[in-house]
Amino acid sequence: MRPRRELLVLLALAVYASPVAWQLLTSITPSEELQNGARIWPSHPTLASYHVVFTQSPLPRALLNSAGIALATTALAMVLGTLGAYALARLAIPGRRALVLGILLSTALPAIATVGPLYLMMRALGLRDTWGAVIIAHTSFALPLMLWLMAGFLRALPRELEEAAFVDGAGRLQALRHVVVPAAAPGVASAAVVTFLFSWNEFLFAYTFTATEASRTAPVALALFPGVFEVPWADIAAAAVLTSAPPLLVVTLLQRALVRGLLAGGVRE
Amino acid sequence: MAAVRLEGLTKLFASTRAVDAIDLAVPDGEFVVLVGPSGCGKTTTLNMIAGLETPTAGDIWIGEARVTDWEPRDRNLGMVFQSLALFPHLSVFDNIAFPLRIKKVPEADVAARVQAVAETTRIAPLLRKRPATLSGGEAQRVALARTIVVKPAVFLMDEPLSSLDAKLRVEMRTELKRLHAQLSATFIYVTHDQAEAMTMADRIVVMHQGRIHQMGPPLQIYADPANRFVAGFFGVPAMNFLDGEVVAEGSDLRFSAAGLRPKLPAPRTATRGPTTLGVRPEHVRLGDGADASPATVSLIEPLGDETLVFLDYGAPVSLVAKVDAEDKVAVGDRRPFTLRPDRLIFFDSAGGRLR
Repeated sequence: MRPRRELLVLLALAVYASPVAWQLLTSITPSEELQNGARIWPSHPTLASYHVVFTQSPLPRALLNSAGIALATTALAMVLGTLGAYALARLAIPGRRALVLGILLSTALPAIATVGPLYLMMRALGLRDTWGAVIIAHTSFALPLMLWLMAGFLRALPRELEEAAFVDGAGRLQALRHVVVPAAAPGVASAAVVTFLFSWNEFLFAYTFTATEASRTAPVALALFPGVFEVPWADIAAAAVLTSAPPLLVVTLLQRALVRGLLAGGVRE
Repeated sequence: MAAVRLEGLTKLFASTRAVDAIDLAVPDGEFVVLVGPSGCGKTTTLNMIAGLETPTAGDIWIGEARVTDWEPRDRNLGMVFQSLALFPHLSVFDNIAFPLRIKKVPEADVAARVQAVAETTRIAPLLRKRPATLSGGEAQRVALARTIVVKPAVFLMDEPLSSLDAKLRVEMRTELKRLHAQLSATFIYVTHDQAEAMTMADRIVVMHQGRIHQMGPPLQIYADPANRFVAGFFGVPAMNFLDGEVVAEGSDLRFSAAGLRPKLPAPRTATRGPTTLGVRPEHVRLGDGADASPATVSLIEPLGDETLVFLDYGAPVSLVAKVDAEDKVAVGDRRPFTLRPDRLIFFDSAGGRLR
């Protein structure tokens, strides 16, 4: 019974992993072999495509842009999101219901419906083709989900933790910084991961607000990958693999922090 | 060190009077216990003293200062919470150091003071551990240490022992009392456990439905309850309540109820009409006497040193007697009983005490 079930799980995982594996195999297949029709295993695996992508394509710069934009978005959304979520979770805000409804509704708006006005606003602000434009757009779209997630995590935290901090001499911001946020670390980490992934993968705004290599992100660079006479499938595959690597790395690293955070717990039930 | 005074303190939640105009003066150094069933307003009162809740009306004084609208951090209090509220991400050392560091105490002093208080509370070997790895008793001591380390004028404790197992709870009671003697600070302690209140308090404040029903030293509250609520709240097993009426019989007064008719000690103001008689189990005696009533033993509960005997005497509810364990009693025995006449107390139909 047991081995058979594990076999099923492995099979399902193989199905999910197959496009990624195919991309990976394509990236190490010599270009000539790809032109000659369908074959899965390369006869002579090579890293030539990676060399091309690193030395002759805009991807390295795009990866840098992506990293900068995604990190800045995450940092900004974390600060604003934590403060906002704390207020939603703990403070008596007038019109709280309307506010929460508004936040919820804003997540329902399709990005494409707002991209036009946003473009005009970015241009008016002189932010077109800068990191700033993409960071602001990403942050504003990531915030509702961030508020939602963080408010949930903070609400689940025992009120007595921060009350203890107040009695011990802390003000609200000190309690938030030294007690609430660290105690909610697993939640904070997962909210950060979600935001980072959203910003890294986002295409529409990144495509619309950027014009040159100065600010194009990796997904955009990938879509616009230059070919001269033919489609450079192997190079594109290599670029795709490189674009996928950082988010995978981030998830893996922060997952460890997440598990560590979950082990803590100082309040008796 | 400081006295605490509450004047007309009131807290409304929506239209519920959680705390209803209470007045209380706690002298410097007293160990006062607020006790009552859940929802009686005791924790809300404590939170208002701490500054965690804003009173709807009334004033709070700590020492010479009116602190009603002060922030918690300005009140010079220490508080131990029901959940203990240890910070899960900090080591035991850092938990205890937290209030000092927030108050910007120099780091060299922090280390010395944490070490000293850790020795007082016997947790020195635990300083590098995380709260999640502590046992219940250890976590309890850490929470105390974090409170003691700032040397507050007033200690507030909100059911700090409620989640310990029974044996440890009894040990910690003794330890807290010793700590109180050692610190000579004012302690305001909240509990729903009448035994905790009895054993620890210099003075007990009994609360019910947002009001103070009685204040006094433990033995006085036990022996001379102000009303039926207080009488029923203290004592395990609870006081027996018998419904009946006081009648005159010649020159004597008797309490007349189903199955019994004890003579009342003179002189007593005659109280006609429906009355409830209260008698504690230890004041019910098995044995024949002038005034004995017949009864059958329906249940026994041995406690070791004493035995609880449930007597069926003709009323719908059994009468509980607490007798010496040496006294051999068996279910089904026919045993007459008497009530100690000098320990009977009476209540009117509203639960007020008749004197």
